[in-house]
Amino acid sequence: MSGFKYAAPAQFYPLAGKMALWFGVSAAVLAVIGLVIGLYIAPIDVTQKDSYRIIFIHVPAAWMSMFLYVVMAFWGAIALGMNTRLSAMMAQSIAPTGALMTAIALWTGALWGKPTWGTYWAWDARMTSELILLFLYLGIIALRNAIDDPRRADKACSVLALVGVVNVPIIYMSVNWWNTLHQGATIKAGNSSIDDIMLAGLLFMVFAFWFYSVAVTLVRLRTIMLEREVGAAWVARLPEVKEER
Amino acid sequence: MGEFFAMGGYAFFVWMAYGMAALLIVLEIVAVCAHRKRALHLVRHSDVHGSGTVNAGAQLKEAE
Repeated sequence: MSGFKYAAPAQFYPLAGKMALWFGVSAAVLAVIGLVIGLYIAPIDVTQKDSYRIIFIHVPAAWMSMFLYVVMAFWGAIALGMNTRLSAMMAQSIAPTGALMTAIALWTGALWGKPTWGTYWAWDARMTSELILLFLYLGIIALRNAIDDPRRADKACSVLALVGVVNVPIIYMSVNWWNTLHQGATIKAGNSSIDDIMLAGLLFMVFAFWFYSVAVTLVRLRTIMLEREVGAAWVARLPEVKEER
Repeated sequence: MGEFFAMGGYAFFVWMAYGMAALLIVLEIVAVCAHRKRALHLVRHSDVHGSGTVNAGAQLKEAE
């Protein structure tokens, strides 16, 4: 039983390191291309002029804020249902990056709202539900820090993540369900209300944010694995642990 | 070049948005690297190697 249980982190740790490197390098390359297109090559918008260029970080960050939450809740559910340590650690490693993406989405949204709508903030459905998402991420992080036993913290955080997942479809559908100040979806399958070169820049930035999130989450996951498996034989055998001893 | 940075009069909004996003991402990378260094230090200087993982959480707390 225990052999099977601990084999997984030992094998996943080096794989996660390689993946983090490749996702990180890819994210950097994609971000450079996306930024050149978004800030320089893409033409100005007819109505919003250059202020629309905030879209190239606002939309990727907002998408990732929701996507990461669903992934975090998924691993939390697996951790609860199957009592697996690695999936709980995955959920734990996603929360800070999810909070970061949510903060970027809110900040850039405010700076886009001012020139476009004349206000940094409105308590409309899209913005309020996105703010609640930030509070959920921060609540999950704070809850973990408040519980000393990591296994109990896993359970509590997984439950909170699962309860909070109801907020994600509310964010996503808010522009359709309510009459919001926030505009409707720009990118729709086969029918996007956006220029081709703008769409290309946006997609580069979406993948850049996505790959960055994967890379930084995997590095954090490796760190959490080290901390939580500190007595394990596989940790002692790691080359980065052996050196400097 | 000046025209590029002026962003058609929207420089404040565009660069505040991009600047804060860049700052937050750089801070996250720095924090994650520092966290990893701390964890490696902890693992190297804890004398619990090979003693099994039965009580890893408690050992972690003692080491801290």
